[in-house]
Amino acid sequence: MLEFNPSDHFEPSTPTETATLLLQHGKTARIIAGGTAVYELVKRGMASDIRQLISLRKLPLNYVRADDEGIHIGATTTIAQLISSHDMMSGPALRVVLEALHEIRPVQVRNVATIGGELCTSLPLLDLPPALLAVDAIAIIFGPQGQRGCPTSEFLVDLFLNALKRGEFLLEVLIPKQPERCGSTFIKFGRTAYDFNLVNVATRLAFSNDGACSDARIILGGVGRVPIRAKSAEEELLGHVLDESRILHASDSLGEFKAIPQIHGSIEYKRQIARVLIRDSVRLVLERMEGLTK
Amino acid sequence: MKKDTITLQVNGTDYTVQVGPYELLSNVLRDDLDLTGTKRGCDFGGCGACTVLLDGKAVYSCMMPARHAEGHKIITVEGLADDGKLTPVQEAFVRNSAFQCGYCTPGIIMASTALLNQKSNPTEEDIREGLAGNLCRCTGYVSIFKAIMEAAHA
Repeated sequence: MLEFNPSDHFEPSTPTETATLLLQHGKTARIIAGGTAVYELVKRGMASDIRQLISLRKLPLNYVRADDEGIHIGATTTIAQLISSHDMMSGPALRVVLEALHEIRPVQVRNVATIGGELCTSLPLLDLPPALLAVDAIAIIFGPQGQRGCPTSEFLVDLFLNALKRGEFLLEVLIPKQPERCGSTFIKFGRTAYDFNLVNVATRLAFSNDGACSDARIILGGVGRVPIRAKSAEEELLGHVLDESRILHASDSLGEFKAIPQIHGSIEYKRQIARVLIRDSVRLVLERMEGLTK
Repeated sequence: MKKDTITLQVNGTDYTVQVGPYELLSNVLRDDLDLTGTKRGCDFGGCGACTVLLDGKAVYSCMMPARHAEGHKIITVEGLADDGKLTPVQEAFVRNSAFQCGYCTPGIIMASTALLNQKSNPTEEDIREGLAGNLCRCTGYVSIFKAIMEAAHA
């Protein structure tokens, strides 16, 4: 095992105590929940700056509950617990989130990895962040100035960099109420079902009464340093009844976005796969919407 | 290094151990408690040889800080047999020769036990999903799948 010798491990029992510890120790402090993200950093030799581990395990952040605002998911809720809460995400608009959760493998990781870790790690290879962006999820943050909400689209700033300021940590994720007549899907493309993705797409489309696309979120993961919103493709869909030529138009419109290469996928390869995934995801959402109206 | 005292309940017995700020459960089980049935394979959270049960659910003990296991019921492969009597999963593995070198076997038996705790009548797809985090380089998995199916119907 690579050398990793933090000097302290804290287990605060309140959000205020947690924020105080983070403020006190600054950049050398690291939040730990399920431990999978910290483990990856340690194994890759990227944890040498961490001196204090601040565990969230004694904070009551393990919950999934629904109210008028939407679905509130505590930061330390595990992937397995979220999958077990599928009844709360049974609507077609949130299918994208459930499908992304099912792509997180294996079960040993699902049982400990948390929604907070998936989001705060700010790693483009993960599956859940694009799905959260597709449903306009909001990161609820606690810090020295109190509580604030940050759209997940603004939360992920860069590779390993999120919008948390000094002393702040993620309290919960709020999935707001979704538009009416909405369908969604998540498609992962990786080397194996077990691997991190090469490219994934989270698509959520809403339709007006006349069948035209009234709202669109197409989020690509794995291609850029953070999930990318395929705005050109979304614009091609908006206001139109979606037929095959319109779908191809949208997927072909994907511009020269900035991609990161991986050993198993060059930039051009990823761009090509992204176009295919956009096309397939829109087709799948349409099929599901037709299934609902029949 | 600063160490704290924690109590871990392993196979029904409470053990008091001293752990540093980042001590992994697999190390504590093997090095402090001498429970070497739990294996270290890849030591990178991928091969599954270190799988143990935490409150009946499969976890990688090589990834889990030992402190996070405090207050939970930990079962290792040594804790499965009851007074020398093997569990249906262990018996089915023996009957089907569902191992060769045996190094992955404790982890696979723990993952299989967790799977059957949740799904008493698993499909082949369920087994694939449940064992996706365990590698076996000897058997080709056929005998393992057969043993799990047999254990489910025992």
